[in-house]
Amino acid sequence: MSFQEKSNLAMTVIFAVVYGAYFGRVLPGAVVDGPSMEAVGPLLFAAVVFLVFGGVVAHILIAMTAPKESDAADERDKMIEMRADARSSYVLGTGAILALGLALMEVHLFWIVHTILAGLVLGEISKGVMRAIDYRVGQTA
Amino acid sequence: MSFEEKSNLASLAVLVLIFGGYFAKLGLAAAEGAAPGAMPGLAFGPVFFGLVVGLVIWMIVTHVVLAALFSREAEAGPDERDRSIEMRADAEAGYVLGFGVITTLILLITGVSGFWIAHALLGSLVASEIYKGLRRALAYRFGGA
Repeated sequence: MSFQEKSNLAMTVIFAVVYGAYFGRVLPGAVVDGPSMEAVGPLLFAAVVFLVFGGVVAHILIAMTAPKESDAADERDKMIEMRADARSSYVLGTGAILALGLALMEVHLFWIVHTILAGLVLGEISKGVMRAIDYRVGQTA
Repeated sequence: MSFEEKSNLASLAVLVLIFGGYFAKLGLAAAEGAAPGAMPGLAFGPVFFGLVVGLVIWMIVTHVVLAALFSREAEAGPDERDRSIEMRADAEAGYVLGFGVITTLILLITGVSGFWIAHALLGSLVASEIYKGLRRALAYRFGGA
């Protein structure tokens, strides 16, 4: 397994865990008690801190286990990344269009922010999953 | 010039004319102090809907005309180079969209009105599509697939 593949798997898992926990904590409260941006501000900040910290620790550990691989992204890595970037941009676009609709309907700021955030997070997770599949199964057309 | 390249140029031109015109009008209104920021976002629902309908109609018309004029090329479909150019443009346009969406998130947190939020998102989507069209056009002419 190459450095790029391990890095991709680590970041996909960290994204899923951090934002899965964030949305799991924030959404039930917003539905039951009503949305409030003030209440989620510290959690939003904490999610970004955990994401950055988790990413740095994971990459240090991966680089320590295989230091020679860490700089070597080959043509296949680049092609797999580009393909995943191209496809995941449609997930991000869908989130942006949904958020645009919510902004036009003048719903609470909380829902617009979280629709945009969900689009960004789902875009990143779908990119990671597509890269993982391409690495293991080969590039699907 | 392949059918895919002609189709890309036509789509790009339609996009720039429709949304370029809209954003230019919006910018002029804002500069003259029409204060569109004070207007509710919902009031712009029909305008947005009209823009999308206009875009779809013009896209269909231009592609029907192109397909009628160059029917043999249209039937051939995209080749490996077309697909490679499209994939690279899609991937790079995703970063333009991501930048616009994150900028919109920052605007949201600073308390900007729903009107400007909707336009920031629309602007991000349009900018990424225009970037994609330009990137494809350049790749067809100068390489870089």
